[in-house]
Amino acid sequence: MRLELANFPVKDVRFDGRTNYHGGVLEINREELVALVLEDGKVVSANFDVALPGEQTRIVRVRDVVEPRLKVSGTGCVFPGILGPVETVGQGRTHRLSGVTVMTSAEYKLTILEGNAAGRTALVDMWGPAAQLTPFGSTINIVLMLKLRDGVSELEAHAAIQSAELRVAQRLAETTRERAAEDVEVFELFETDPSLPRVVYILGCRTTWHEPHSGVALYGLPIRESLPTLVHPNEFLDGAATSDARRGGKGTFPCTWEWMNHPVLLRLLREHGKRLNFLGVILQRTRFESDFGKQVTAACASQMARLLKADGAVITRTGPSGNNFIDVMLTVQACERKGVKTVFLTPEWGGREGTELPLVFYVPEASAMVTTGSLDRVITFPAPAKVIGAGDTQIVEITPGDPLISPSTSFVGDKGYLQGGIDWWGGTRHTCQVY
Amino acid sequence: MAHITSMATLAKQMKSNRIVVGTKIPHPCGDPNLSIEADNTLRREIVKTALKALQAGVSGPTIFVPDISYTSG
Repeated sequence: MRLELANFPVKDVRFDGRTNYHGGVLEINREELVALVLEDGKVVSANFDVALPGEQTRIVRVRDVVEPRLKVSGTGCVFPGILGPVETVGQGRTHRLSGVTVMTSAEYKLTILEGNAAGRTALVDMWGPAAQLTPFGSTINIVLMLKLRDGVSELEAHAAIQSAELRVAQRLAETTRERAAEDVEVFELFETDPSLPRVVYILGCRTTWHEPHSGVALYGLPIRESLPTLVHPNEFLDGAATSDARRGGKGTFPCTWEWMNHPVLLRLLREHGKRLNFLGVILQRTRFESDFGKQVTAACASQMARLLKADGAVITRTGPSGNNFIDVMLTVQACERKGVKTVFLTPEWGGREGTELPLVFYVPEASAMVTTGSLDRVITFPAPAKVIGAGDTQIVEITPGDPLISPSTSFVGDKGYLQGGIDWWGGTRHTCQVY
Repeated sequence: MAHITSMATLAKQMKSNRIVVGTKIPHPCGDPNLSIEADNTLRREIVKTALKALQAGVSGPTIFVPDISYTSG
């Protein structure tokens, strides 16, 4: 499985002329793309805007973010199982428009009004303190604003938002088909020096069996109570993993863009054949609801690592859930007991003051851990010059049931308000200091 | 005190003394996948185990496992 990822950097986005990419400038024909989105009868209105890094702009009601990519050769398509048939992806050639996102801000009438399953939104600031805390403060964000018709179910809302953003992303990436790439990076798990340490990546994802969308889908199939599965890292680069497009807020889930630009995967791929022998990804569903289920997933994931003859495993998780944290810790323990050394990468709790218990559960075998920062850091959001987003941009609900915020003003919140604000995979530039 | 919980490993770490292993987080004392009769039997077994645990002398966190089987994780 050899994947060429061809890079087409975007330095500016303009809404004029025909949809076209040339010399780093992405031109978008707004009417064409609005018409494309409105083909779905569940969308009653659509519009576009763009937000550039450094502008005093706040984007609201953000629910998902994707990177425009296009399969130009090899089996399947980008976002397999959603935009095309279920064919194993991760080989051939894929074009990407880098430095630019399709960021979807959507409004619809919720039918689930509270709890984790409810749709929620996030903010993105293009300047100031919040811009440093997420990848999206330094990308050019093409904001797709959607309003869905009343009466859609939660799952229909997810499907409508996702379909709109993925089709727009595909259309934009289509502009690169006949163009020459600025650079091409090749990703392949080739045969390598057998003396290099064999490393597997156990990618724990929190999913729920009882919610309209489980939170993470593989080839379009929401992952519910499944056991771990082995995935080639290149598959993620072709959009095999996608998120619930209704739920942007509280940093709960990495969004689709983060799955496509997964920092741990990319780093392990780039180190393959140099410092290590990357064996692949064990995608492990976590958040079983009994000790029994937790032990089964830990046993299976660690057994998969042992069967791959892994010397070591990098382990991460998603979702601010004490429940899933136990599954992951038990997986660390099970791997170590089978002779697979582990490094566990996770953000920590600790409260706004940083003085509370940082981990809810621990095992003595978890002897190598890396923190990606606090889940609860307080941010004073400054007043913006401009607010972009679907619906009423004066009053916004981030999490159903929480106090409303007024995005055109200054207010105090935490980094969970931000899309991508919680760093599950070590992708941001946080550092820490012992004092 | 006897502590019925589906998270026995966590209860042990928190130094709960008499831990009774329940079914699942949303329903520690029952199983909606079962018929009413089978669910009643399972619930009775969990509570009986808790009553036994209450009478047991323990010298630290101790796990009591009811004689039940699980329909899901």
